[in-house]
Amino acid sequence: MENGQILDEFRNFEESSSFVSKNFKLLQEQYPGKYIAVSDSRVLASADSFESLISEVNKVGKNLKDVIVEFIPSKGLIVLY
Amino acid sequence: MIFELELIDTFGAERVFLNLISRQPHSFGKIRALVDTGSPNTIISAKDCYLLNLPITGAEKGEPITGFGKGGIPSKKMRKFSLALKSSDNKIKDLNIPINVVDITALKSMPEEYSNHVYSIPTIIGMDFLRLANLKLVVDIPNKKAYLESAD
Repeated sequence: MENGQILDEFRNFEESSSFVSKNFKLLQEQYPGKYIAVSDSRVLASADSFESLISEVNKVGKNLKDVIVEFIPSKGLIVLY
Repeated sequence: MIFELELIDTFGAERVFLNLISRQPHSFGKIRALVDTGSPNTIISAKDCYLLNLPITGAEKGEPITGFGKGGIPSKKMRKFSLALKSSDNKIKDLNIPINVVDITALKSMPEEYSNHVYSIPTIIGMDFLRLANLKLVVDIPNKKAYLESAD
């Protein structure tokens, strides 16, 4: 993989990652205790378990390599990690 | 070289994330990792192990990963893991470092509730990463900035 392709991948990645960071409080209101899949600056799917989320992403026909998956902890919990 | 980090405010508590790309053969992809100076080791999460389809079956057994609570999370040790970082001036820094990976094959035989909890833990960037990559960590909460700086 050439560095140019890596940079393209980073650009796409940073867009989704930044979406999660900037909207974290809102995501915590909307998806507490859930796994979410993010692509193109939107939540593509959500589920109670990682396994269910993978099924949801597969159902919409999105490649797992093109999404970022995050667990959104519920408010009111102290998360060590 | 400066590598920007994402500083997230989660209801009055901050967390710092680093975006990485795995350059492992056949396991190219994104890793959104939590920077945790309380962790001595860097750990690839169960979630990222699955999403990258890391070939861990034949990998050497690693030490169990432990924190709070009883028992440990099974791991595999990868002696050389290829990662890329992107600097703020769009340069790529390549790293080849030893890393522990959550053994997702062992999780299959564990209770669903435990396994689901393990999948919620993100990839952790530990102190070994900063040492091996020769990086300085700067976290400036008042100015909402965080970055890694290469000492090379």
